[in-house]
Amino acid sequence: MGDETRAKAGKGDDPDGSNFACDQPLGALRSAYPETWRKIVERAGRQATVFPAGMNPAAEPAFRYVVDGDDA
Amino acid sequence: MNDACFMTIAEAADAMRAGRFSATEFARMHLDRIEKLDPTLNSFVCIDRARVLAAAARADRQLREEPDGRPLIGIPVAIKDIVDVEGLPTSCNSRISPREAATSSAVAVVRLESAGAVVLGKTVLHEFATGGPGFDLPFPPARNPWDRAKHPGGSSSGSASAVAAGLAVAALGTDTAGSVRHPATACGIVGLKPTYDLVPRTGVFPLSFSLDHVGPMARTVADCAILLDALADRRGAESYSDELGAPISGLKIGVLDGVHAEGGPADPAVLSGFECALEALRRTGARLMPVSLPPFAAFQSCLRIIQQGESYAIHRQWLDERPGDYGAMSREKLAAGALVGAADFVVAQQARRELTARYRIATRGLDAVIVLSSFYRPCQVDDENALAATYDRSARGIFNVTGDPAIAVPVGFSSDGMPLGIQLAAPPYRESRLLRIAHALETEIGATDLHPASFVDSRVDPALERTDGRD
Repeated sequence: MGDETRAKAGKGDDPDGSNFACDQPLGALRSAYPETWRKIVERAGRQATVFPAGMNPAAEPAFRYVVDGDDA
Repeated sequence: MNDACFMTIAEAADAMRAGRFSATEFARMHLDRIEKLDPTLNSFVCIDRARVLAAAARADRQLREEPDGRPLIGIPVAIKDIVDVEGLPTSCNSRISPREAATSSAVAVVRLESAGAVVLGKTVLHEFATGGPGFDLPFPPARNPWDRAKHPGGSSSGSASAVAAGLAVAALGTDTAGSVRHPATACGIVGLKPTYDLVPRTGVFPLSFSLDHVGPMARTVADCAILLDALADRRGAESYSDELGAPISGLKIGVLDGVHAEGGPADPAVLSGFECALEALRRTGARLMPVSLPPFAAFQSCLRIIQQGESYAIHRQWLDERPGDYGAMSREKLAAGALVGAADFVVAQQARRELTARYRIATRGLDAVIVLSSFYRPCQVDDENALAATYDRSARGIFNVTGDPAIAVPVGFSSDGMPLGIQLAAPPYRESRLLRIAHALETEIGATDLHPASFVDSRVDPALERTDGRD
């Protein structure tokens, strides 16, 4: 999904998350449980994501789950 | 004789070796208590009496052959029903799960049984170890033995409830964001999340591969040490009990109390328990020092995105094809992963490395850190708003992000009689030191000697009536 689409999710111009329809995730669930999906989208929209300041976008992610030393 | 069901592992082992009761009698005592008392707690979902008694008979033979043998021989344990036990189904408390019995046991269970432990049965959990105490699941939520209207914590709810009520000496739980430590704190027992992968996850249905841990739950720190001896891939320590009882005077313990105020104040009773724990540690001569971490919210964001992404990868097809087979709480939690983009997931992994590195720098040279476990006392089991607040605020996820060992230890009771607890954590693979400090705190405070009054005597309290669902 595009950033613009994601940014709109759960906000005034996309309260029901219908902009996600282009991705077609969980069609049956969304149609059978529209209130659940609305809550999910609404929460995703307001949930603050906080990451450490000054993170290097080129840093190696912690895909190896070793916790020794400086690895995660 | 039913006081035996509140014995520590060492006490029970000594009693069996002294001939006070056999492993078979000990197993029967627990089976009888489960039959009488568990309908009031809903902690067990599956018990195979014949399997239990066969294991107990084997334990009796081992006790005769090894009079000074391993401490777990004949000790009844319960297993969270997300962990495979050969011959029993693994329901994960979900209609999604296959109904067939597991054809082999999880490595953790094999290790416990090889050490002589007697598996009593499977304990209830939140569906797939996520969601919450749903009333629309195959099995109703477990109740807290200190107050049956209250939530016992989760997701290893039944394991904690059973151990606190003397229905099992110990139990296995799993911990992705605190699911061993939360119920341990809520039920007034000890719960250990070991270093990531120290206890193998093979045979445990995953929630989030890189955050999942398997850990022991018991009524004392020493019992957790004995269990870890059986469960762990050894990393140098001869026994995790070796350091227990050694003084902790001079050991350095970082205080992460900055975390407590983030997002609003914690419950005053919970904070009071934390202050008691600090005082107790000071009395032991431990050196307490403040530690500042990156914002707690950063650890929570990192954990949330990784957990949502990994669990959605597991459940995507079922959510797509069988959404109605999930309970409402877990459906909502798991489907949220559909909105986690690939780049979000990668950035969360970058943050995980960065946060762990910063945590290592902040805690360098310390033997352990202390921080709250739960920020609130257990709420009503059916209060959805209070439950949401409980799960959103705890300091447990930090150690799932870093993979460090962390232990929840009871430190007393609130004025309404509910258990209070704290968390201690240590650097990776320093479980021996962590257990030593936790044991010293436990000894200084003495909160683990107390048990819920209604369950101490085997007679069924007339106030206890069967609980099938909502009161």
